[in-house]
Amino acid sequence: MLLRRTLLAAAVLSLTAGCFAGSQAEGPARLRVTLPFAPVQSLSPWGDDGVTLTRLGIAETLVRLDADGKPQPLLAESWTRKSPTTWSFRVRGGVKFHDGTALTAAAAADALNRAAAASPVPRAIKGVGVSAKAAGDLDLEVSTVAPDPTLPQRLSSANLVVLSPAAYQGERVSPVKAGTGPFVLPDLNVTAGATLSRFDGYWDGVPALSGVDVRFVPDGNTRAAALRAGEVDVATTVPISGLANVTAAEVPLPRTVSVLLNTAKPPFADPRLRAAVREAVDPAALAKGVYEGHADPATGVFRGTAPRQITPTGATAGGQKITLATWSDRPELPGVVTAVAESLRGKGFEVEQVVRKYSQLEPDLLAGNFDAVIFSRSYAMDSGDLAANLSLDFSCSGGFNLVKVCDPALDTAIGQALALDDVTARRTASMRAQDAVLTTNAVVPLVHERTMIGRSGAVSGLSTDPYERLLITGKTRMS
Amino acid sequence: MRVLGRLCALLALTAVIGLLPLVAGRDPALAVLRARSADREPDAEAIASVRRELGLDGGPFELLGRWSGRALHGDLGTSWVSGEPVTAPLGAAIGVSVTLTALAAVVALLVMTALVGRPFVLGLRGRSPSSRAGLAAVLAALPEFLIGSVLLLVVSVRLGWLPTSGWRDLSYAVLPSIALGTPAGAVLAVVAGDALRDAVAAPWLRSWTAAGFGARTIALAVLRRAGSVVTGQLGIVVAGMFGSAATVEVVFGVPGLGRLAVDAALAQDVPVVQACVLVILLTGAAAGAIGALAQRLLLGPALTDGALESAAPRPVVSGRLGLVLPAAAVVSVVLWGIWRDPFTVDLSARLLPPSAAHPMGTDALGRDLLARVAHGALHTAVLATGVTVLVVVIALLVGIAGRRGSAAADLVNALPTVVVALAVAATAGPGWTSAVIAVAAVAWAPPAAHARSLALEQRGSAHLTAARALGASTRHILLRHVLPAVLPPVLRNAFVRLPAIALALASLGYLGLGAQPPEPEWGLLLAEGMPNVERAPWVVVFPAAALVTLGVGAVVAASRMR
Repeated sequence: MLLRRTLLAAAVLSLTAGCFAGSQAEGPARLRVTLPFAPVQSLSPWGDDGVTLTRLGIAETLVRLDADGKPQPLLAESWTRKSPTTWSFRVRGGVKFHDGTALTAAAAADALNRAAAASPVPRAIKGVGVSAKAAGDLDLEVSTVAPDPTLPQRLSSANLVVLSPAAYQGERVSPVKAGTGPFVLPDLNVTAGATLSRFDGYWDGVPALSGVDVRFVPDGNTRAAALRAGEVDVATTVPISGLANVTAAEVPLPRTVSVLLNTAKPPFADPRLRAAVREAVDPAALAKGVYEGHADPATGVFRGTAPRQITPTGATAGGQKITLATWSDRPELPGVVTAVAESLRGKGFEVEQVVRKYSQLEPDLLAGNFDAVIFSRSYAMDSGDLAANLSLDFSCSGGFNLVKVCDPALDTAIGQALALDDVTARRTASMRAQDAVLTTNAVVPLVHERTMIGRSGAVSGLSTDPYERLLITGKTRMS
Repeated sequence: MRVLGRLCALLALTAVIGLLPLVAGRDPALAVLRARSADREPDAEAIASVRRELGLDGGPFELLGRWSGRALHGDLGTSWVSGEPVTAPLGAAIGVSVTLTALAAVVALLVMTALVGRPFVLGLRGRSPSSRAGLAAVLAALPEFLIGSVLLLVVSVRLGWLPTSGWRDLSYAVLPSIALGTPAGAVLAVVAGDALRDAVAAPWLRSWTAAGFGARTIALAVLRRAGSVVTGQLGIVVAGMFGSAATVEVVFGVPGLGRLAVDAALAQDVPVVQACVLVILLTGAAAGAIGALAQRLLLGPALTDGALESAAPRPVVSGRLGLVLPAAAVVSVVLWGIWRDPFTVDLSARLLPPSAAHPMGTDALGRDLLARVAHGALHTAVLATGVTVLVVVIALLVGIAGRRGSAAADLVNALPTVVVALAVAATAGPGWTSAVIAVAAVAWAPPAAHARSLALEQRGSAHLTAARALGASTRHILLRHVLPAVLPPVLRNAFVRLPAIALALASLGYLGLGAQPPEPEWGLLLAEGMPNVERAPWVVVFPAAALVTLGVGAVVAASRMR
């Protein structure tokens, strides 16, 4: 009888054990980190999972961007523009993939060509027509269909990481034991979390940590709680409401929350009413009130825009009905929308608020069904190129022109910036073009966001890359 | 043959729920692209590329054909978002949800036992079994995410006893199962309380006592009699926790089936949605079948032979909590706060604690909470009551009419409201109507199953045999015997779920259905307040208290209704 019960208990235990992901040994120098988004596409680099690969130090790109958006060497040591449409990259020697094979120009070329053939083509190289070939053991030649001065910056996109040739099978790609980064991904069983081990053959010195334990927790307050309970050492994207009991590094992001006004139809076809919106909102109060000081009041679409001297028009609305939409995926936006709606009511608008998940909002958004949208948009995705961002969002042919402005003078200004080769000159020209955008009042910038990386006191050497591509590096350590 | 028919119904429902958005003309390519890359501009080229990859160009009916063909061979296809076979993530999620649900069922049973234990013992001793419906109503009104978050902060963060999130061993399942099981147990307690009261009031009990049966024998017999109703509800509640635990799963980062289903539905990942729906429907059907079997086993041949003895319908002795107290509380709060301004934002007065100027404090945008609670009262209460009444009507029609509809009840019961809502919204468009339809479409199931088991027992009762022998018409029996016996417990069962219905209605807001900010709907107030529950508890405490009061009032009112 006793035996039977014991057997039964053992059977039940082993059954339930099968339902859990299995415990992991935690050595002293392992870093435990929690991220919000579980991989959606089996860690294929060609979608959002690409950033997970680079943030965790599994895979690397040929080029990285520094804080100013300038391209810097990573897996490529140097590069030159051989002709308007051809670039020559010198691939770093002595780099090994996690499976032991060496990084060659041929491997890098294959990785780029595979990404260029992915469905859909990663945004960074969409419409660019990238093709790559090896010109020597470590000499890589990348060409584009049309002249493209920002190709090196494009190659910093996390979608374009270089994986071992063995990672690419048919149309699929698997980063398991295939990256060049300081940490190795052992398998694709990552829904509950991942256990990364140190890559002793890392080209930039042996990593300081012995490994990384990752878990994915969708709720921001739960991530903060896990950090406070000492279950993890690093928690990314801590919500502002959870900052009270957490040590966090604040990273200013190239991301702006703005009111986008639909200029294609009344009431915001009328520039006076757009001016009324600009004069109604108070970016400083939003940054201090809704964001509790963890955001920066915006003077332009881009950070570092000089404040404009404008004489108020004093325009008010006469009871025009507008719908003001935003999405709930970013926790502060619903608060912003309510505060802005109140300000607009004060200016004489009759405001109906719409708050949905982004996926539920987007079809109506693209169809132009809202008069105004509070939009949080990164202006430096992929290449960090401001000119490309302006072109996408505000030119007549722009692919994401939600405000529906179409002004030949504006297009000319953006076109001038796009034509420049030098990174600094491009930036200056983009800032000039931005002035023309702001004068339309089609976009009313509110705040620039920051991201909060919570960490325990023992952690040092986390990357505070504003492009959010890096987090854990070979230099990250636990004291 | 019946099994085959049911299987066909199952597959049809699965296919329809997954494909409705497509039939209604929503482009899944956009949603799939969004799920893969959150920030990417949806250019035509990318959309076309996704469409080609997923084979969407053939239209929804070709998809349906392909899916059914494969599903009949046991192949559930590959996820549109990840490109991986559906079976792997589905299997893992089922494993997690089975464990979580089993533990939550244990918690629910413990809570139920704690709540009905004393009245049961008192009732056995022949004393007036004053119910603890009040306490049960309080527990049933607490939102799962609120219980979860508070447990997380107290037990995991402050005390450090249990892990906050994730899923590695049984310790990770404890807090989520308490959050899930407590309200479920409270709902069961209301059902069990009614069943026990009827059982101890039945005439046979007196004969047995007179005949000198031991207290233990009698208690077991009462339990067996009452258990026949409770087991059915238990099955329904457990199946519900299995499929719709998404909110709790998000709070604790548990990779369960509910979350998988909701995420997939939002991403329009049709193969995953269909696989989840299929599993949830099968579980619901199994739970329903087990419930029915348990009823048959517990009652034995008496059920079909018309040999059951049940108490004559009689007024319920209400507990100490009268209707006056909750009603007075709500009315006075409304009268107090209705004159105040619920909308004006004051960013310099954020999260102020209760004071003379703001008796309930202010919320994260500096709005007066008393005003918001008061202004939200009417809308919340009327809407939730309306849906609950609708649910009761459907439940009675289906439950009393017979078995056929109840199989459907077992099926839909466990579906996550969000998944149903997305299908409804796709066809009926956004708005309140869709929200009401979506919530009612799922919420009618538990009371309907309850009504069915009660009606079945009434029909199997000896006094009906007598009535029939005296020439009573079916209609007479239905109206004078079955309905009066079925209605009160079903009413209480439905009304104890009223706060949950209010929350479900509010939770659909982010799909574009139902309440939108800045409306002070109570469910919205709670959701808005949750992030600040630790540093400014009042933003959650007062709306939660309001909801609890509403729930208690509803249960008491339902007991009085006769």
